[in-house]
Amino acid sequence: MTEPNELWNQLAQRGTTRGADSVVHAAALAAAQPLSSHIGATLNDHEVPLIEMTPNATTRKSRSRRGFGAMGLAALLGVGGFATLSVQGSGGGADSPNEAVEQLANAINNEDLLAAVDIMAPKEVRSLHKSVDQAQRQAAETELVQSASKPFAGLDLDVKNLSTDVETLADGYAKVTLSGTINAQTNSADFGRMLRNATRADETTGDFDLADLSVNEADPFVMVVRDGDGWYISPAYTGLEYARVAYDLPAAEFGSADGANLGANTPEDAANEMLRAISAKDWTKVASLVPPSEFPLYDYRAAFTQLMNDNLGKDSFNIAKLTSTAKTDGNEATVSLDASGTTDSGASWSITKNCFDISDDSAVGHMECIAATDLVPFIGMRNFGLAPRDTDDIATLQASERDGRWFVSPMGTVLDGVDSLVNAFDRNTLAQLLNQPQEMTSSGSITLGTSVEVPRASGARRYTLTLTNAETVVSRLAPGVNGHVNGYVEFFGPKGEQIESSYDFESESYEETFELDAGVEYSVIVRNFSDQQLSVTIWRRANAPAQSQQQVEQPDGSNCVTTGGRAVCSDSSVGVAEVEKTEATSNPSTTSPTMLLPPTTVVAAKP
Amino acid sequence: MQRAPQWDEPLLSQLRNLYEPLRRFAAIVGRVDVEPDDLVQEAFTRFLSGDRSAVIDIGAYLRRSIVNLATNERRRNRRAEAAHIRLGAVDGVDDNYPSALSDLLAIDARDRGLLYMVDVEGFPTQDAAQACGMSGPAARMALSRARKALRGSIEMEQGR
Repeated sequence: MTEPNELWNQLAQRGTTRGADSVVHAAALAAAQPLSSHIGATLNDHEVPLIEMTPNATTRKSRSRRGFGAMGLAALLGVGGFATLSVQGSGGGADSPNEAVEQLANAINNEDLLAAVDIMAPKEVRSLHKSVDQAQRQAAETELVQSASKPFAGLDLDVKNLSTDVETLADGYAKVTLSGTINAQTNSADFGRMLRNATRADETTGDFDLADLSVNEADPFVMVVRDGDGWYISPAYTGLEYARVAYDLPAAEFGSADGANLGANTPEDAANEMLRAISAKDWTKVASLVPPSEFPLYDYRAAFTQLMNDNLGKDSFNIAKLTSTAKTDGNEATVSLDASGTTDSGASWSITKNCFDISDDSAVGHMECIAATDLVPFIGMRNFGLAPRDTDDIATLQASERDGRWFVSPMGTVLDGVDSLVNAFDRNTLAQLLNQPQEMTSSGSITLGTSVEVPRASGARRYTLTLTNAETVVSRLAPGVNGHVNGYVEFFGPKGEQIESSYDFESESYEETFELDAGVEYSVIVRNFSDQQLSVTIWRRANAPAQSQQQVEQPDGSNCVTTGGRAVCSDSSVGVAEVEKTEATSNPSTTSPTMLLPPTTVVAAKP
Repeated sequence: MQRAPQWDEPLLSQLRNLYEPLRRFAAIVGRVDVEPDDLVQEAFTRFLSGDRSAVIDIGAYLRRSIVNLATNERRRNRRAEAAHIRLGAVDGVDDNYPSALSDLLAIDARDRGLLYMVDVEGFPTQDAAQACGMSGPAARMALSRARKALRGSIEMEQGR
């Protein structure tokens, strides 16, 4: 019989042992040689972290990093106060590409977001208007910043030793290569309260070398474009040019897009033609349906075509049905798609309001419906319960009209998703991001021995627990019908300090043990990632049943599983499960079980 | 025999003392076809070659290095792994390994290292998460899943 420790030992002792002296000696020799002669020289040196690894230092670094990260967050959410003003009118741009970069550096030095946005290409940033309005409201509601109008309060940025080199790529288009550093210093006294608590340290500082933005051995750069009489920093051209350099793709044909000859007649046509062009792998056509003033993909169509052909392979799909409906508001429209067809491999696919579905009986089988929430770009954010709430639409595109022609607006579509995320950003999300679970809104208090039902896919929920006497408690999660526990429990003290737990590896139940003090309000954070309700029970250890789940064979032949005072019984003769309340008990012996099985054998109640 | 350069002897002595636990850790997180000693040696080499002034907790630093080396090696060998999987092997596991051990090796290397540090070596979750390059919540989640997967495979092997 293989025991866990035996398994670990087998694995830990594998291989040929050369001994400490030999390994250290070889390492010392190799360290004295150039990197290329190392045994593992094929390993990418940049992928090994050169970081401080001392408890104190890492704590400081972590907080420092968290502080800067949080400031970025503050900037994102507080951007509205400035950007709302700036997107309504441009400052006229700069007189030259160099001057545009200098104006941006000055704006950074002064933490002046208004001035920074002012030097951005106005046609590219105008679609931010709605998003920043929303972000402004959320920043105020979550108390992320002391004042929504001063999102950078507490942050001092300083661009040092900036030097630039201008390369004209075409008339009105220039690449400005940069070198220098940006020093960031924070003063937590000026932060919002939660941000202040998260950073702890009064002042932190750090340098960012612009050389770190190098890609594919090319120096860091920004793209600057002329619009009217002024020069502006172009985030879109900069992003596209970075991609082109990174993947070594063909050069852009700057200014080749004539908006009057691109796009489609109606928003529905724009969406339909886009999907058909993707189906036909006509990437130039796809690029022609993106508004060139907002995102100049058409100028980069050769690079885009090569990138797509290199990466998408030969598989394609055809369209059997395609219907789109547009809701137009001025020169903006929301287009809903309803389409279906088959792929080259014979799988059928469909895309409707809230579901992308593909099934292939011959190969991979049926894939579950993919909803918009499954495609949240910030997947990690879902751990914090942050996902689009207002809409589940996956088949919705934003279209915009420019000079009488309609285009599919990538910025509008992406920002629509961002708006949805920002809408979902609340105080609880912020508290989790800043690792201050004690600041989350409480969903109630926990009574020892009484189960708490946590709704499905609810991310994190905070409950409180205060004990009269110091106790050792155990937390137990009931597995879902598939036998998996998709969640966990954490305890935090009043200042957000995590209470360490111990876990019995040999245990058959998902339980963790915590030592708690008397008279302290603990925050119990329960995370439920599953699509089922999760049952959690905190027990005084002395009173905890031997197992949180016990399957008990009844005299009539049916099986009952008890979980936190509830019983789920199944009767194989009729194939129907019934749920009934039973009297909660803290002593398993009173149930006189005739058969005990591990959690993985739990019989599921019929949905 | 080539002479090793003059190193701070207490530093080398410290590495020798760390060798055994790090070797076990490397054996846990590394690919089966990569010698644990090679991973440890590479981590030592990079440590000795780099700026050591910022490294105070050498053990934690080296564990993190080993995890990164192991996962990077894995990434490069993705194509080979795919071939292994097509042929029915898991992660390059020799067919002679018991199935429970194969299942253990099928757990993501980073998760496996995390599980080993917490459940076998008794590290606090937070420290283990840091060594394995994971956030606290992600580590808790990974632990839960890895324990479940391992428990399931052991139970299956035991015929329960």
